[in-house]
Amino acid sequence: MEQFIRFLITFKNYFVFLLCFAISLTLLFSNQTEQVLTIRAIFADVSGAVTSKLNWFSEVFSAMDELKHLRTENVRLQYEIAQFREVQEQLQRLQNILNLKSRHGYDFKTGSIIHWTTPLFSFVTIDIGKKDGISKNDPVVIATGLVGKVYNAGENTAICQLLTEAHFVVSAVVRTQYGESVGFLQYKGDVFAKMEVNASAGVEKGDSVVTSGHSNIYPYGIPIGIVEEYAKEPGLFKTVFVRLFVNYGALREVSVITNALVDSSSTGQIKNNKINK
Amino acid sequence: MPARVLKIVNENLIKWSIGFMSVIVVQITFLRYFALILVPNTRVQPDLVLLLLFFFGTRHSQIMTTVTGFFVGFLLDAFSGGMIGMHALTKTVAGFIIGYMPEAHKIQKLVQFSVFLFIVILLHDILFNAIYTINTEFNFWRLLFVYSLPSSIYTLFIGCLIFYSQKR
Repeated sequence: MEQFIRFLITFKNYFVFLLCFAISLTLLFSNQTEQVLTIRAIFADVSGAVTSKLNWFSEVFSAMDELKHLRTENVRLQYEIAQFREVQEQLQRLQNILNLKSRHGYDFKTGSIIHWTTPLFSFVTIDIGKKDGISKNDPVVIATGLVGKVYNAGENTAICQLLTEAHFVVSAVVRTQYGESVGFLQYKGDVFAKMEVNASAGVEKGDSVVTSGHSNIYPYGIPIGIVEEYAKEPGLFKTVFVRLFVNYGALREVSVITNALVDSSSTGQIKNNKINK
Repeated sequence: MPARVLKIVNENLIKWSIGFMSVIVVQITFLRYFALILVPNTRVQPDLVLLLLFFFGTRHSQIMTTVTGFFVGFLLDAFSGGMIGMHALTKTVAGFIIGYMPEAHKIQKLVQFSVFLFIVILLHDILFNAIYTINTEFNFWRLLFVYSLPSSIYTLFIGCLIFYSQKR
């Protein structure tokens, strides 16, 4: 026993290191457990309360730049609204003809980003949480497209997993001139994501990529990006490289869709809303 | 006498604890305003926590630095909303490596300091990226050179500035 204690004392540096290493590894592999998720939510709430106040001061300085940008954006959006109105009227006429029930009206909750993970854009913390109706797995979007999903929600803050996170996978469709082709999309680096679609799909450069709706998280039709290029390799699948619409480096506010999947039928079957707002 | 020693130790620990907490807050809030965007969808910003850990480690024992690395890494993970354990693990290893570096008063030249600091940052980033890219589509080397290296150089630059101002 004395020898063992002497051994421990001699190599105490290594034992302390191994202990810390083992605890870190255990934490790392238990990130999906309820306990760790709770800890993350509590810490996010605490730090959110402190840093949202601190962020306010720095936000004031950048507000002028943002105002200028928003004014430009406003002009562009006004123009687009006029175009959308025309399209909506046309759509309404077609819906009346087909006697379709128009389902629209997502509830958006917009929050400011208060934390970023570094050095890679994987997770962000936003200043809205369960109190605002946010829950785990709610889709996170901005006007240009899909940002990610709510990974974990605290009372006043929520941690969002970005599409640029290495483990993030989303079911998407490429809208080709011949129809739609489904595949799983994953971030590849820079502004690109990769997905594999059926080799027979007539994918062309410039085809749009949107969420497929084949999941219990994302409704159909949230824009993701456009096809930049595709590999014509032999086999059953074709690799498609998608240029993402969202500039993750410029994110400041994001919107969370709190009613993405609405039980709209009497049978209790969950259906996806179409994004038309 | 022991009470006096304890007081000095405690004062020292409180000073460093406040320092680490402040740096963590700065790291997750204000630092993004000093970040550079060289590659889309990422920000190049220094790792001030690692930098402070280096300064701490060259003034304290290896055990202290390893344990401190673990705790500040854990707090950074928790407060930044990242994966719990990522920074805890990498900062633990960084703390352990820093323990092998010469003590602060023995590092007199800027070149010496830069080399030691860069070794720590590089090993830290290699480990971070290795863990991050497990079971993913990401290319480890691309991640290291395109994403991490610019941040490492930024950290090194800030570290050299602090070292230079200390020596003056």
